[in-house]
Amino acid sequence: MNIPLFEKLHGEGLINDTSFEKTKADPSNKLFSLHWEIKTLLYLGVLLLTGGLGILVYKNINTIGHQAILAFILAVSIGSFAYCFINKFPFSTEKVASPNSFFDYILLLACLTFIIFIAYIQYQYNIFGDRYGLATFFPMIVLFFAAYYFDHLGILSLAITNLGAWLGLTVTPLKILESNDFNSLRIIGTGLFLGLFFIVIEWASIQKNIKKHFAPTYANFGMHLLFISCLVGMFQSDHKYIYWLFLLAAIAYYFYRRAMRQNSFYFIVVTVLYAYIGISFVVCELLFASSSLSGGDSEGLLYLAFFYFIISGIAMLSFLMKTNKKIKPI
Amino acid sequence: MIAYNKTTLDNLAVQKETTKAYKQDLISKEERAAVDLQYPVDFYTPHFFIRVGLFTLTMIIMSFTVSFFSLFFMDNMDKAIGYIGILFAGSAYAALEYIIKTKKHYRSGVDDALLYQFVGSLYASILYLANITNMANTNTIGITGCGILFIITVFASIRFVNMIGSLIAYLSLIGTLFFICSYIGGIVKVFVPFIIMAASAICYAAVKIVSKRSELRYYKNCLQIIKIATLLTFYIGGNYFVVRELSNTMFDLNLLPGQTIPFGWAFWIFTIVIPFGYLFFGIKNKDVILIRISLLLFAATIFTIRNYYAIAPIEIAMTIGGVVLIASCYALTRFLREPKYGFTYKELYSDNPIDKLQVESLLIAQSFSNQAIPPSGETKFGGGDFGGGGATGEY
Repeated sequence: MNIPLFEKLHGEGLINDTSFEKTKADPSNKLFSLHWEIKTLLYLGVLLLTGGLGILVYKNINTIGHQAILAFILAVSIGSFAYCFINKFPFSTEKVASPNSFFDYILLLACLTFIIFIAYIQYQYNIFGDRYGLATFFPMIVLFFAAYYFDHLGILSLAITNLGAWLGLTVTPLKILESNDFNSLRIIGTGLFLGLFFIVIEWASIQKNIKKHFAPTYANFGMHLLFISCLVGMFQSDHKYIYWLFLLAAIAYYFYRRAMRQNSFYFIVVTVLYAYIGISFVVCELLFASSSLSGGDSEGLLYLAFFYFIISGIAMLSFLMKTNKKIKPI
Repeated sequence: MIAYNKTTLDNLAVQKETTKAYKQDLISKEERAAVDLQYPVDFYTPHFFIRVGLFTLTMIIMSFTVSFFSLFFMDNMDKAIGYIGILFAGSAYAALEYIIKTKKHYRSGVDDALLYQFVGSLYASILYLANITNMANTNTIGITGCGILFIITVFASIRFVNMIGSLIAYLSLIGTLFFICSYIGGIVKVFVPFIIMAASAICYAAVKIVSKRSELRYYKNCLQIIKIATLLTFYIGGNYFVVRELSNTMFDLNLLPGQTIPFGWAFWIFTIVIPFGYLFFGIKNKDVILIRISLLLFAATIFTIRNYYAIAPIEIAMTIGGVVLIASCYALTRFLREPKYGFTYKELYSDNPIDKLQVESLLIAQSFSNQAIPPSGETKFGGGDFGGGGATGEY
């Protein structure tokens, strides 16, 4: 706290004596927090260790050392899980605070080494045979269990990406566009279904009061999946984009309403930007379709398209500013 | 000098402090409201996410506007484009001043976008008009490029109190210095690393001194980011890898693997000692910037050493490094169970809009999800599997 400032405010009579004393006595004036430093180091440590073990296993397949490595990975996993079971706070359907950041990352380490272990024995001994789905399904169950039992948002996100992988879909945040083959309608359908599924789970979490604080994570994944699948469907459809536009409008309406209800700036902005992409695509398609009908005056068309973006951009800008006024942050 | 209203900036600083105190339950709601009334802020500063949206849309609008008008000059584009750029920069600047003066935008996304477009297009068109690609050699190109960038960004950061602007200004200053030394050539070239280090140290000292002046209080964040940059360039100037590889390509030394550079031993000492020095002073003075940078530089030092003296293969090094990091964090958490010497591992205060997005969990999903997929063939998606999907949650 900026003590001289509060001294001045106190002098002006804006802050009473007790508040001023409280401000002066605040521990953050004297204490220095290493919270984020320790968190970052733990994150890096887990990243390095699991990455190193992954490469180690991969390079040593079919050599004598691999069983020792396997045993080491299993030992790390069991040891970490044991630490978590001993140190955890009792389970509850409400939010449970974690004992400390170290606990969070040891749990992450436990889950990741377990997954490496499963992947390795599947590769080497083929325990699940040709049922590859099972090899993804099993770790996914463990991840969901760990996320709920120990109350860990990071592992929940991992479990969600794993659920996507099990259905043949990449939902990892920055890879969702590059890693998926959106040419196939099946992938788009899966994406739409999964997005809807997450929204339902989100709704159920709130209704049944089971780990309510997980709801935003589900909603976030669900929203992006729904929008991206719908937009990709629109881009892929040959001249049937009008149906997809209706779907997009429905999704956008739903998220707009809930964003206004929950006072969420994030959902508003994301919804507006996705809807804008969809509308602009349709407008450009219509413009180019009309040009091929009229015999192709491409230059005039370019003017029109640019003009559209200027006008619509300004319209969106003022819409966002108006919405910002309507929402009052809590 | 500053485009924004100074009194309002001062009031904003007061409000930020009282909001922080209110969220930590130090002052009451009424007291906070009384302060807000006494120190009014009429800036238009929307929520962080709205700011991102406004920024994106302003970028779209401005880019399409300039493209729209460029269409008229399609036929002799190569002559017109430089002037169009200048004109565009001028109109972006006019719009920027207008929305700040009359609409009172402050960090609204619109003013950020306009400022970046002004700086970007002004810089690009000056370089285009100066015909920079036809210049004689790399050094003159470098001096002109960095020098012009320095002048523009210094103006932008002074008038609009912009952090990114001041960072670029500092870096382009160092760049200009580097190219001037390279231009003079001869013995000066050998001392370039030391000159860069000396310049960084001088800038650090200067920033430290001027930070104390109360009339520069609006530039607190700008000076902070320059301070970070000086600490980094001081290390980079003395880092063995940077010096060796850069002098190899820039000054045509044609070193063979295993050959070293003049004063090679001195750079090894810098590479190893600087992170320790930063950490020592960071802990001694409780300076969060120094501590964080020292951690970053330890990683850089390890990579530098590994690049020349690889003791163990990468995966062994990664595994051991991971174990060491996790173990030391465990030790530190145990050690700080009760706050010691004014340090704690607990979080004291957080009010970051990005935290609500749960960035940490997204980061985990992003960086670890590759390992989550076993190296199997195609996954099958059928009706049977699908039924299992519903049973995965605990409902």
